Formats: sequence, structure tokens, C-alpha cells
Amino acid sequence: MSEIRILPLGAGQDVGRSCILITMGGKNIMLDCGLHMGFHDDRRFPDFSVICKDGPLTPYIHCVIISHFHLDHCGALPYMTEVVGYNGPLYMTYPTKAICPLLLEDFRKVTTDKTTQQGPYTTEDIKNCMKKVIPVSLGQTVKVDTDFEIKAYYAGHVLGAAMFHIRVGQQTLVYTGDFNTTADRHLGSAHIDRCRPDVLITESTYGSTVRDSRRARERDFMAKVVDCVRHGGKVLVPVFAVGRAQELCILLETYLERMNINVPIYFASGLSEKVNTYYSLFVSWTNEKIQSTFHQKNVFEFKHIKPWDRSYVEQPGAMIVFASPGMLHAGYSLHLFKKWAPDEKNMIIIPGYCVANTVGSKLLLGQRRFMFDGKEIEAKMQVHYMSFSAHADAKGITQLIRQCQPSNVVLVHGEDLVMDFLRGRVKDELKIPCFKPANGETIVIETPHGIPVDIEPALVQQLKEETIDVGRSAKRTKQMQGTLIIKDGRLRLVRPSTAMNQLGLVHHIVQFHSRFPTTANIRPIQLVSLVQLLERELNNSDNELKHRIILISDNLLHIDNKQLRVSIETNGDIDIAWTLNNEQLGQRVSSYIKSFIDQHTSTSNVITISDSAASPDPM
Amino acid sequence: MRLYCLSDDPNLPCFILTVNGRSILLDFPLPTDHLLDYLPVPSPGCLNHFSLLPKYTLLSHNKENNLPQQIDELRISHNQIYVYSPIEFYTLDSNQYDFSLIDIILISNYETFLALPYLYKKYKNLNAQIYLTEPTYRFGQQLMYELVNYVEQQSKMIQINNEWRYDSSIFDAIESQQNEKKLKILSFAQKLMPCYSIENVDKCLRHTTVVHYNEQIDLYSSIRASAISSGYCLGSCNWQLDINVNHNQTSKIESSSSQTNLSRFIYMSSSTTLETYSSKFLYDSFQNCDYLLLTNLSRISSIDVSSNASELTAKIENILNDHGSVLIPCSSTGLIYDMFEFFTKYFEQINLLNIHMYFISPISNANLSISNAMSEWVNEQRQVASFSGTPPFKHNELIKSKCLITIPSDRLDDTETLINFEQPSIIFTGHTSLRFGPIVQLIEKMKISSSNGIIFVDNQYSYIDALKPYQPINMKCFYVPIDTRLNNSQINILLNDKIRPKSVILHEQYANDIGKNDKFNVLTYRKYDNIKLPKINRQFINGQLNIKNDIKAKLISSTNIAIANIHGHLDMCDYVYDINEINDENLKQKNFITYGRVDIDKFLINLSKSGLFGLEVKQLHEYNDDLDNNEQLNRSVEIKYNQGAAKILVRPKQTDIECNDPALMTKIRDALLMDNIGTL
Repeated sequence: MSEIRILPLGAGQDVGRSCILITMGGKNIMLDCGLHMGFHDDRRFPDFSVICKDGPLTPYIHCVIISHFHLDHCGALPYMTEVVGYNGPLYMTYPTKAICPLLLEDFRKVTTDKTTQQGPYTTEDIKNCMKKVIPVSLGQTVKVDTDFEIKAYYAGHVLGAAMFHIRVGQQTLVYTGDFNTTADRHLGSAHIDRCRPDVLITESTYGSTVRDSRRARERDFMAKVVDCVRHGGKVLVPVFAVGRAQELCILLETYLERMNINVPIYFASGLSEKVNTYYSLFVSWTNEKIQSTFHQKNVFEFKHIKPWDRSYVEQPGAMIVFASPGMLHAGYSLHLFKKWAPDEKNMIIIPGYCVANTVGSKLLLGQRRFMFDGKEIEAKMQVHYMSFSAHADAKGITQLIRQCQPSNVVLVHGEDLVMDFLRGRVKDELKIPCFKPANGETIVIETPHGIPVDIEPALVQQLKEETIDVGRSAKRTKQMQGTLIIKDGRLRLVRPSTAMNQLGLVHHIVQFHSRFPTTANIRPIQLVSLVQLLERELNNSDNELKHRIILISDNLLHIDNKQLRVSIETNGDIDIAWTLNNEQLGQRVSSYIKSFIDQHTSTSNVITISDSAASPDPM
Repeated sequence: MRLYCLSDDPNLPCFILTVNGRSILLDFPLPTDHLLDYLPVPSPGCLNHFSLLPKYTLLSHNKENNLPQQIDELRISHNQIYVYSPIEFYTLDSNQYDFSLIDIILISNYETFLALPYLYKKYKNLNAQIYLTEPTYRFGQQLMYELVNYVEQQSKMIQINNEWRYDSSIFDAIESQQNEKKLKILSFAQKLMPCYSIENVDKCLRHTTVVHYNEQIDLYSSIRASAISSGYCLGSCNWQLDINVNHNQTSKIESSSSQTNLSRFIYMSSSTTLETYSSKFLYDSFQNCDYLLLTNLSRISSIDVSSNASELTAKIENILNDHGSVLIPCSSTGLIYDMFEFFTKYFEQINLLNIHMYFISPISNANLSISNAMSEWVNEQRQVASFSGTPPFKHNELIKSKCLITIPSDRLDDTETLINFEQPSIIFTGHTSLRFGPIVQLIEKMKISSSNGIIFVDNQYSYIDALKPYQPINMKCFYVPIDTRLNNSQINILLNDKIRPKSVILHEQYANDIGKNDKFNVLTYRKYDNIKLPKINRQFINGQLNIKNDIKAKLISSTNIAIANIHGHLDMCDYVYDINEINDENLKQKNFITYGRVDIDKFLINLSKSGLFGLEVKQLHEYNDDLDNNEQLNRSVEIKYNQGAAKILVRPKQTDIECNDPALMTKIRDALLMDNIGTL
């Protein structure tokens, strides 16, 4: 029995540091290689020593697949390939390959100690790492090795996010990465074929919630923004440079154009402008509307949204600013927060998830007094949280499971309690076995598969001929007999006669006979009357297979294609002959015929009573 | 498998492949070979001197036969008849085949499906899915829009007055009058249709499924198609069809071809080994394929592309140095991107500054932005650029530096735009037939000056015939064809040394140049041929055994082979073969197979062990001609028990047991099978 082993090094009953090891068909595959934002030491990386105590990982890992460019999915990659050592194949989609190095470089800058130059990895490491990446397109089947293929499906979470279908031999697995099943203003919705994998590994971030419609959230967002700027306030929206930022920009741009509101909008991020070009370079990864109109109008060339300049901070009057990073832990967004927080006319809208201990999360928890550089700042501005997170909710996840129809579901990338809820739902509603391995816990899933065999065409032909004139139900239940020849690990299914020939064996026919002499003084028995008798006796019950009784000549009758023969010999004897495999039939037929003859003899001689038990139907 | 060939021009490929009961249409290009029979029509608002050309006079006209004296839609220019009407088209579909029955349409590149809107317009029940790559879809859509646009402009200038085509008496009169000089268009004049509309285009394109290179598309459960990059242009592909795919064990596909029942059909269209901007031509998976349908080779087999390129730049340099403008009739996508970058680089090299390249087409801007969004379809070098955030093409830079100026218009006004061309300039526009589009006025304007020049890079039309209606012209004329498709020698090398297909199917026109060897089987076709493809005998069929229990394998020691008897149900559904267990116990039947010879002595011992005594054993001396002389092995005996209650006849290949008592019969059977003849 074949099996698939799954070991999460990260993202097991947890969000962050996605890294899942799977073993299927003798191949070890690493899905994602992310880092944990909550740690600042080596614990932020997956524990690679589980794979191998010391030295490079190349001999132990057959391929690494990265689902999208978020750091909790790719952040540890340069560390793994350059510091720990890995030279094997590394796959990600085209946009991921393009955007990933920007974020890695940004992370490196933030974490590298300014004085000691000590960091997780260097710029050179990132470059060398990205050189090893093999880009894949949506839908393209990439052959990793013999009998080992991967294929990317659209996941809709961020630009270039993909779900991966992996096939090793007969075993298949789908890893969703992060996905979103509702299309937004710049990306489409996740899609997968009904590929019926053995295992589906799915994220479960919002596995216990059902969110309201996107439209309502957008309306709410715009209402708050407009309200604030009408009163001359400044709106601060902390976002990460790629992803939500573009979505909210498109929203603002289209809305303000329609409403004819003239308020300056700025985008404060070192990356942003370059990032927008990536969207135009990979238009086929955006939603359908953008795709069908991009040759007329590039929605990522924003008319109203201008790049930020430091001098604008003192500018009076209303404005809207998107500033990175999204959790207010550093950079532009924190700087602007410090400046604008004391004014109650101003507003901050946090559109995404904030990791514990960041200013963003404290703000959301209700803290209003902050110490910055020894100065206390009181946040009097309005604080709003509005989730524009691009993860599927409980409804979306079950929808994807239904679409894909896996035999088993494994939950990762979610909090433990959320997973419990979702697991219950998958088990009860969808009736699919569901697992939620913890970090470091290996689960083993059995994957029953048939054995490939080579069938002799003549065997199929023979079956076709035998079932050519039978009904559909009989066809369904038709039994096939073949001989399996096992040689050098290859299985061949052939007709028994072919097997005999090939093995040099000679068929030895074992034939049974019942012979009933008829006495000369009665009138000869007609085979036609025997046909009627057998038809009645053999084919009267509905749930049994019907026998085919064919009258070949005046004195010969075949049942089931020569399996049993009834013949009248020249001396008037009735001979019933059957082969070894039809003993039951043979015995039955001979008993029917015997009683028929007995009755026949008795009626012609007018003696003794007929054996009613053997012949229920008097003639 | 049958292949129905619909076109007589290998550069206009169109086929229907029927396989496993499905019909697959391979490409549906728009024939444009008749366009030169038309007169050019300039855009509205321009001087149209073609309207003044003399009308065609019917010599057979007289008062009795009621024929018109002149035919408005036929004009004479330079002693030749031209049709003076908006361009109309015909399609390659034939009445011999019901196109609404087509299940699947596969498209090679954006040049080979421009007639599809006609098909969906004509066959209302046609519901076939069209499979094509994203660039093919996007550029194809734009090219269709462009065509609609251009023809629309024409019909603003002139109305169709096609009585001459449909009134058989007039048509016959023309035909007999033209007896000597037959016009090509006459042979299918009645088949011509007005250009399709934007609605037709949109309706047709709703049936598309966009695919990526190497994506495995399961058309039907037994047929799998993949688009493989052909290198010719963005998104161009050759189609690979795998037939008899068994989905239960995709693994078998990868093993060598002798180990599978799969047959592979390759439809090869425009391909090139030349390194251009698009992703390169891949043919590894074509090796040893069963069938290869070869179309769309280069029209010019001898000329080297790179030598032509340098000739082209030399010509342009001459004209520009002469203070003239260069006009290059070309398609709005494809080669044009190469030319932009190639020329800019060249001008930089020779220090020719301030050259303006004009790209005039209603779809010019759209095509430039589409090409820049196709970062996954360009060659690796350009892909690297897009990874660092730079568009794969330099259009934007060229536009910014005013090297490239796009005029996204379907018409040029005589008054304004033409005069405003900044000199020195190179103007790229269409249509390549010189019969419609902005090029018509441009030639009219530019032909006056001998310092100007027109350079033909497209080789679909004879440039002499194309220019004929414009004569007399003063401008210089050059013919520098650039055709990057595979030429004869390249394809011969490819077929003989690399791909080695089992059978090659090609147009008879190619037969002389290709395949004169015995390495592969060559099938030639002509228009309307219906070829039966050679059948491949399969050694076996890939199936899957889903029976877990009750398989008792038996090792045949002499051969090192194990055999087992399998009873089950063979599910055959859509060429997928599954052997499943029979669940219903009632229907389970166990069949033995007996082989070998009966050891009579052992049999007799066994019989006596089961309590059968007093056997009468009689040697039979039957004549066996097919057996050897080993008496002991070949002997036949008759065994009688209890005065004929049972009679057993043992012969070398058969044992007959005659007995009317079932219990006794079972005893004899068990005695026979116990440690004696082999059973399976």
C-alpha cells in the first residue's frame, strides 16, 4: 500500500513560517519556505536540522515549491539555499520570481544590524538564490523528473499566487498556498479542476468565519474616507507595498473619479512604483476585467495617486496617504502616524492583519498612548479596522474542497481552534477525512491505487464480442477471465490461451459427461423440447445471469458458447458434456434432463407416478 | 484516424482530424489570395482616383439580351480587370463536411484563425471550444478588429453592387468574354461574403479557452492536447495530440514509446529555429512521434534571413540619406517588433539620428501594450528583463524618445496627418495587399517623389501585381522578403536527424523537396483529400488492476515468471480500462484452467484413496500423429468403475469423465486435480 507523509516544519496549527515537507512516491518535496515575523532569532526560520543534521540539503530534498511572494512563504529561501545549502530545483510562478527578491531585499535591510552588518543573509545570497528559480506559468505541466510533475493553478491571493498540483507516479497532492475565492478589484478568484487528488493541503486562516460581501466593505471604507476628508482630515492607510495597496488604490481612483472629489492621494513606499509595473507586465495574472481592457487603459497607471515626498507631511488640509509597512512597525507609516495621531480630525484605517506587539496591533487592541523616542504621543485620531485580507473564508475553503474533490484534507496556516472548527465541517459536511498536523508532527496518509497492467488487446476484443448483443446491465456484470503474467516487475493481463502459449503449456481439457440411454420403445426426444425446458428452468430467476441456449442442429445444443453441450447420439442416447468450470451448470442441466426423460418414459409407458420434485412443470 | 484536408495552400493550413469519434478542426485561416483582384480603396475624405477608372464593357451587350452595357463593379486599369468594391472574403469550409459537428478547434498562431468568426456565424449549432494561447487570442482579436475597421472604412467610400455575380446571365457573359484572361476571383465569386462584424468576432471569441505552453489539456478522456512553442511569433505553437491516454496511470506516458499504447500526432505549423523575441521552438517531445502533419514552411527556401536583414537596412539607409521617406507595408504585429528594435539599434550604430518610425493602425497602441504584457511568452533573455521590472520590449522607451510614433487610426486624412509626418521617417502600416487601410493614401502621396521608397518585406503577394493599380509610380521599390519560417533544408535536417517521425503528412507541393528517403513514411495530400492515417498495431492496452484480494500468483520455476488467474469485471469507458472486483457474490464464478498431462499412475492411486476400487484399466492404442514417440507420456487409457457407473477416458490433451452420479463425479474430479495436472 502506498502512502503520503506530511511533516509541517511551520504553519502547523499556526500562521506564519509556512514550510511543509511531504514525501510521496519516494520524492521529498518542500512546500514553501517562509519565516516567522514573531521571532527575531533563528527560530524565525524552519528547523532544517530535522531534514539533515549538518551539511547541504540537496541530497534529501527533490524539489522546493514556493506558492507566493509573501515573506511567511518565501522569507527563509535564501537562508535555505545559500546558508544551509540547497542546489536542487526550485519552482515559483513568473510574477513571484519577479517580486520575491524585492521583498527579500526589503526584509534583509530591516533585519541586518547597521553596525555589525550581521543579517540572516546578504544581497548576494538573494541574487544567487533567485538564479536557481525555475519560473512556471499557470496550467503548464512542468516535469521535475520521470513520473514527477507539477502544475500551477490560479490562487488569487496576491499577484502570482498559485496552488500547486503535484503528481508522483499515481499519487497526487494539491497544495493551495494562500488563496482567495472571491475576485477583488485587481485579482481574480482561485480556481482548480476537479482533479481528485489523494491529499489536499489547504490554508485555513479564516476557516471559522464567514465574511460579509466585499462590496459592503468597500462602501464602508469609502464612506469613512470621504467623511474624514470632507472635514479637512488626513487619512492614513498603512499597507504593504504589494497586494492590498494596489487594490485599495484602484478602489480610490475609480471612486474619486466618479464622485469628483479632489483630494491629493499619495503613496509612500520605496517599492511601490516598480511594483505597479510588475502588474502591467503580468497582466494575465490579474482579474478578467483588467485583462480585457488593459490594452486600452492601464489601471495600474494611477492618475490621482502621486508618489509621496517627505515635505508633504507638513502640508495643511485633507489628504489620503497609503504608507508602508502595513503593521506600523517602522518606516513611512509609523512616521506619519506619529505626526498625525494627536489630531482628532485625522483617521487611520488598518486594512489587514497585524502581528502581535506591533504598533498596529496595540492600536487595534485599544491602546492610545504610545512612547516614541522618550516622547509620549496620544492617539486622538479615529482608528478603524477593516479586513481586506485576501484569504478565503470558511465558505470559500469548503467551496474549493468541493471543487477539487480530494480523498483527504490536511489543514495548515491557521490557528488551532480555527482548524478544529473547519475540520469538523469538512468531516461532517463533506465526509472527507481531515488532519491538522502540528509543527514537527508527521502524518501518514494511505493512498490506495490500482496496479498498472498491460492488457492484451485480444482480451478486450474477445470481451467486446461476447457482450456485443447483451443488455447494459449484463454488460456491467460480465465477468472477465484473464491470466496475469508477472515478469521483471511488469504485469501483463492476457487471455488464458495466450498465457498458455507463451509459457509453453498445453491446455488439458477435462470434460464431464452425463449419458442417458433412451429405451428404444419410446418416441425419440426432440431437442427443441429440451430447449424449452432449459430456458424455463435456467433463466427463470431475474437476479441470476441469463444463460444463452442455442440450438445448433437437430441433435446438438450449446449453452453459453460451448460451455455445455447436449447432443443426441445416433443410437438415441442423450449426451450432456461440460467442462471443468461448469460443474454446477452441468449437474443442474443433467438433473433437469434426467427427470424430463423419466417423465417422458413414464408418460409413454403409462406406469408409475412422475417425480414431481424434479420436474415441477408437468408436460 | 482520418485527416480531411481543406486547403490547397500549405501556407494556409486547414484540416479536420477525426480520432476516436471526435472531430478536431486544426486552424481556420482567412484566404486572402484573391485580394489583388480588387482595386485599392482609399479612406473617406481622400481623393479617390480609382473611381474614375473605366468600367468594364460587356461586348455581348445588345438590345435583345437585356444585358447591361457596363458593369460598375468591374473596372479596367492597365489593361486588366479589377473588382471595385469593398473587400469580401471566402472561407475554406466545404459542404462536404458538416462543420457544426466539430468538437474541438486548435489554433497554431494568430495568423491562422482569422476566418473563425465566419464559421460561428454560418453554423449556428457549432459549439466547439477553441483552444489557443493567450498572445494568439489577444493579437488575433486585435487583427480581426483591424480588418473589420478597414473594411468598414471602405464601405463608407463605395457600395457593393454585386448584381454581376449573382445574375447568371451577366456572369456567364463576363466569363465567356474573359475566356483568355481568367480572373482568379471569378472561380469563387459567388462564395464571397462581406467582412464579419465586431459582434461576430466577439461571439466567436466567447468560445475560446486560453491555454499555456505545455499545458496538458484533456479534450476528451482519451485525447490529450498540448501546445508546444514553435518560436515563430508570440504565442505561436505546434499542437501535440496524445491519443489513447489512460488517466489512471499517466506514468505510462513517460516511459518509452514502445511501452505504451499511446499514439502521438503532431500538427506542425509556422515554426522557426531562428532566435527571435518569442520563446524558442521546442521539439523534444516530437521525437519518434507516430504522425507529423507538416505545414507552413517558408515561402522562400533559399534566401538567408540575416543577409536579407542587412540588405533591408542598407536600402533604408540609402533612401533616408536621399531625404526620402520609407514605406514598409506590414502586418500590425509580429515582425514589426523586430524591425523597431533592429532599426533603432542600426541607426545608433551608423549615427543616423532623429529618425521617426510611424506605426499606423487602429490597433497600434493596443498591440504594443499587449506585446509588453506577454512577459511569459518571450525568449529567456527578455524574460530576465521582465523579472527586474523592465518590459520585454523597448516600445515604451522608443515612444518616449519620439523614435516611435503611433497613429492609432484606421484612416488618414489627406489634409492633416500626412503632411505632418516629420522627416526623415519610416512608416509601417497595412494592409500588405495594398488594397485597403492607410497604406492606400500613403502610396498615392509618396509615389510622386523618386526619393521615397517602398520596401516589401512580406512575401505573400507578388509586389509587382500589388503595385500595378498605382502605376505610374516614381518612388523606389524594393523587394526584401523576410520569412523566418523553416525552409526545406532546415526541415529535412529536423525530420531526419532529430524528430524521426513514423509518418509524415504533407502537401504534394512539398513532396519533391522533403522526405526522399526510407526513414519515414510520407503521405501527400491535396485539397479535399480524406486520408486514412496508417493504423498502429498496439502490443497492449494500458489498464489498471483494482483487485486487491484473491490474487494467488504461481511461480513457474522454469521460466522465472509468475502467473495468476484473474476474475473480475473489465470496465471500458472512453478508452479507460479498469479491472474491478465483482461485488455481487452470486455472480462470482471461479474458472480453472488445467494444463499439462495426466499422470495416470498417480491418478489411479488417488482414485483408490478416495475409495474407488475395482477399476478396470484398459490401454488404448490410438494413433497420434502430432506427438512424439514417448510411449509413457502419450498413452491413452480407459478406466471403468463399477460396470460403467463411471467411465474415464484419459488422453494426452483431454480427459473425459462419463458418470451419472454427481457424488461420484466429484470424487473423480478431486482425484484428477490433486497433485496432477496443473491448474490456474
